[in-house]
Amino acid sequence: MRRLFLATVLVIASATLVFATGEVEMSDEAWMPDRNVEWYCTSSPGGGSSIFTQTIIEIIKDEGLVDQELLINYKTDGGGAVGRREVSRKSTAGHTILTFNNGDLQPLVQIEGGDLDDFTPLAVMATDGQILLVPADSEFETAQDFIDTLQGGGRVIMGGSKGDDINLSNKIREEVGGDLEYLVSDSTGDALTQILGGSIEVVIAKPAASFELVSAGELRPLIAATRSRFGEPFDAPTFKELGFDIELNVYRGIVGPKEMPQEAVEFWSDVFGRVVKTERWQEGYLGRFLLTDAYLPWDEAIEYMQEFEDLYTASM
Amino acid sequence: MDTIQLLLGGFGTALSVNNFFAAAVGALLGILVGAMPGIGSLAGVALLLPLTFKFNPVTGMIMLSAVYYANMYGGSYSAILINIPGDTPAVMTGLDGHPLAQQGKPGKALFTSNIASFIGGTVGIIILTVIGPGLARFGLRFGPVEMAALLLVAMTSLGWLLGDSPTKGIVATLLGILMATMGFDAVLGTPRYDFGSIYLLGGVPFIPLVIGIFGFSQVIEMMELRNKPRDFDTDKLTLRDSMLSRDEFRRIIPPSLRSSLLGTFIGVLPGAGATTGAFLSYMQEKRLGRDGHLLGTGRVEGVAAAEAGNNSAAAGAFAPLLSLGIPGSGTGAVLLGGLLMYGLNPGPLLFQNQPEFTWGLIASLYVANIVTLGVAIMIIPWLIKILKVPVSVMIPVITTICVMGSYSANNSLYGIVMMLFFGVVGFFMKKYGYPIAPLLLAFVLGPTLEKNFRQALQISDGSLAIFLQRPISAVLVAFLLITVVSPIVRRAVGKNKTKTKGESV
Repeated sequence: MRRLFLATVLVIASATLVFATGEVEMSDEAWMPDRNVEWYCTSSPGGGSSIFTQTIIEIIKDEGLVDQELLINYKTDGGGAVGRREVSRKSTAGHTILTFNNGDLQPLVQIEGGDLDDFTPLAVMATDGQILLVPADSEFETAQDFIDTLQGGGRVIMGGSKGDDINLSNKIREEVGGDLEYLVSDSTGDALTQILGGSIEVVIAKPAASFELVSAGELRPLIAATRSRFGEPFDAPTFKELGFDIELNVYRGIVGPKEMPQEAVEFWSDVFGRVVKTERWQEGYLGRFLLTDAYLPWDEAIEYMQEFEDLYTASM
Repeated sequence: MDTIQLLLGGFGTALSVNNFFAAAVGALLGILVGAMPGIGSLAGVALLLPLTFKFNPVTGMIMLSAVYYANMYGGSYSAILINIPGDTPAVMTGLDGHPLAQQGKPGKALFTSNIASFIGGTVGIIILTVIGPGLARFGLRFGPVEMAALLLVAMTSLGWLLGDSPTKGIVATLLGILMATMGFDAVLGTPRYDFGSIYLLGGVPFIPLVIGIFGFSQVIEMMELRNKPRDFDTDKLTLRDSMLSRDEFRRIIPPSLRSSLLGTFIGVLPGAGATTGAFLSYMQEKRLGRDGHLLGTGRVEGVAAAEAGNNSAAAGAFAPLLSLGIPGSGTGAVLLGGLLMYGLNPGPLLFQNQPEFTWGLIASLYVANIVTLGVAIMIIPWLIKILKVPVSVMIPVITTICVMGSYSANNSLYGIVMMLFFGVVGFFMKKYGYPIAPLLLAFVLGPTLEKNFRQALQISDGSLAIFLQRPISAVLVAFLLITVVSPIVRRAVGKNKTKTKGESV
């Protein structure tokens, strides 16, 4: 009985510890973290954002760039809305940061009624591009076949993930025309399953997610939605080459709360600037996931993200 | 022949001391994580992933696979003992498992759950070894049209779960569907029924819902009936009484095997996963089993069917992951992330390019399964002691578990608020005889059905005929019609018979 009581007390005590996150007072020496840093990630563990965040944290630890611990807080309530709002209101003097891609900016602007003024951009780390893929035996032998079908009023069933992929499909419908039906999947993986099973004819994917299937010759690249062509095995004409003004970049970035002190902003921007110079980042992350190195420090990141905000506001 | 040789080579890899140890640690961790409501296999694997980067890839993946696998064992423990499913598939296990525990036979339920999990896992892995890639290809043919048809079959079979009052069962089902529509529209991406709250933008959170409606509602119940003694003698809770009799063994083998086959197949399908596997296996047993109509009253067959279905589906989900690089479940997605971080690229070429690793992983699944069974059986004596704990101590302990579990699901207090709310809802549902299981299953299956159904209509440009044009879905629709129409016909015929009988007398 006594042991049970003790156990209960222990459980409750540890529960209290878990919940005791409390607000912490402001500190003057914010130019360097003096306690644990809470890094918010509003996507589930295991996804692209989580791998991005974990990689940066590991590099920071290995290189000894920050003395304090960096802890990831996965806050996925309300499709990420709750985590974003929480971070934007934090006044923790640079001890809270948030992984923030354009997939996060879009719902913030279009659904939650927020904008970039709620945050302090710290850095843009990398950009990614989208590409249209078709099965190896597709009737679209060339990019032109696809364009001709759509412009001839033909019906094409396309699939892909949420967010930016939906934007791209809308853009294609606007610029190229035709009867384009777009099936939204929860992830690129699900969309790839659909195309392998023959449910859809064309899929929007990022090179990293489809690398193996394209290398193995199951799928082949049709048209890239980037400024210039991808390298092998994703070498295919861009929409620009075909005469359409379709170019979409996807960025991966990091922001802090609205009220982050300038010293902290510069500190973090500098830390991330060192992360991108490591071999582990260049080879182990960018190389493996086929991303483009696009580091921008805080001041340039603000302008870069603002362009996306304008785009999202305009398309509402 | 090649396969066997490669597999033996794989065992050579898997059975090194390090890897065996990694599998054992993974199994133990997996059981613990699985038994904690709120931390499912997804979070368990995701949290352990960074840890395993310090190991070599084979050891790391073996450990993660063992965690994934052992989770399914652990998930059912809390469902059986305290009626809080540790993960979603365990909802089905609890249907018969918890009544067994209440009858003073928690050990038998746990034992059955372990044995059936083992059978399910073994059958799943064997199928994976022999025809994995082929099966994955077949699974691909289940596009939106086929999945919508399959889910319709599943949803209509909810009818067998409805319990005493069909009306109340239907009310519970519809309530589940209703709640599932909150949040983002799966096809258009626009918010629905969020009532202007950012918390509801993401819909009703699943884990707090489960913990509240099953777990916390019990706490309220216990408070109401606090002086009620247990229905059984707690001194009888010994290991010997937990062992299954020879007869019981014989009873659980056929349902376990049937469910394993079905479960493996369901696991291979894109986006179906272990919950659907457990659910359809249970339904199959209810229809095909000798004493199917008794399921739900505390039958070992029910526990066996649900657990075998769940574990075999977990094994089946590895087929698309390894042979196509496409995860069949959320946890699979995390494992895929892990593979990528190790520098391995699952895909059509994995078996050719990295045979040592792939077969090592498959062999390690066998090893992990056996190790997990050993660990799982050894902890039964400690587990059943939980039922000896007096109610006055259980109330604060379960409350703490509920609060921690629902908090850790999304790291937010909002989860706790939802949990408390659904606790009250669950309490009144039970009090007035509304079954909870249909509500939860409708909540889980509803959105998948909606999404696939709407996508199917997108493909066909709005024509329902597409469900009859595709062979797989046509078969499923035919099956659906038979199951829906046959009871009506039977009743009509039955009435006629009694009528003629009455007239002749």
